[in-house]
Amino acid sequence: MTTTSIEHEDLAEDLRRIRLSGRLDMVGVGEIEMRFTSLAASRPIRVLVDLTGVSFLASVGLRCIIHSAKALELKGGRMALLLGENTVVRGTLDTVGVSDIIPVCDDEAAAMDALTV
Amino acid sequence: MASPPPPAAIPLEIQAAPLELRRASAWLRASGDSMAVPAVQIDRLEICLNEVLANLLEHGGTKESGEPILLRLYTITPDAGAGVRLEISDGGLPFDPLVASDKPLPSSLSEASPGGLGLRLVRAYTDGMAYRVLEHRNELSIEMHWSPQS
Repeated sequence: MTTTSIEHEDLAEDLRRIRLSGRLDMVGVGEIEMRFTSLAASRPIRVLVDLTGVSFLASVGLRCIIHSAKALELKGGRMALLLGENTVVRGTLDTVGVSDIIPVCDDEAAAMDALTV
Repeated sequence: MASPPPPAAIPLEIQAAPLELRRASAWLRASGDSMAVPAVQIDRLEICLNEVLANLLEHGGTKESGEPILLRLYTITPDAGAGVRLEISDGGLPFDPLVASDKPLPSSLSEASPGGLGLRLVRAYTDGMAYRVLEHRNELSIEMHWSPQS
């Protein structure tokens, strides 16, 4: 079983990339949730959440992402999700309607466009 | 003519603890491999298993009951041609996911509610689901079907 990790990089003053990897199940989310919320939703910035390295996304992970996206939006920021070729995670996001309320992009250029709108 | 004997089930007993969900996932993947279950069905079944177990831990009273959760996986022969059935048995509070209704999908982020996502995933991914209470234990069955040519 893969472990869960979180990394971030500030690409500009108002643009942050957060890369999540591994399993976003109950255990994995417990390991990264506080740091993710702090990185994603503490300032009114554009946040690109890179899920290309996520091998498993459970509803607890979806809740974590939705919660932070809502908090970010309330502060005046915006979130987009980057998936690449991750069809398993794409299926989960589509099934629960997350891809209708948070931009979900296949590549980084599209994600940047979604964050610029 | 006598009906064929039921196929051998692969069992696992776990405790109601978060780390046990990962042991259950590993067991499901290894068992599915041994039964030649296609990757798509295993991916979906793993999500269903994880959601059901997470629900038991968070809301089902399974942790408080102290009773183990019993899992069984075995092959079935549905109309589609091939399939597996996963049985999840627990000693917590009765809950029939077949009668619980899905919340409507949100049209905006501000409308999004964090509840009910797991049940929606289970309903969407399973090809068959049944629930019963048997000897004071909840028993949920989840099926995945596929064509042998797929």
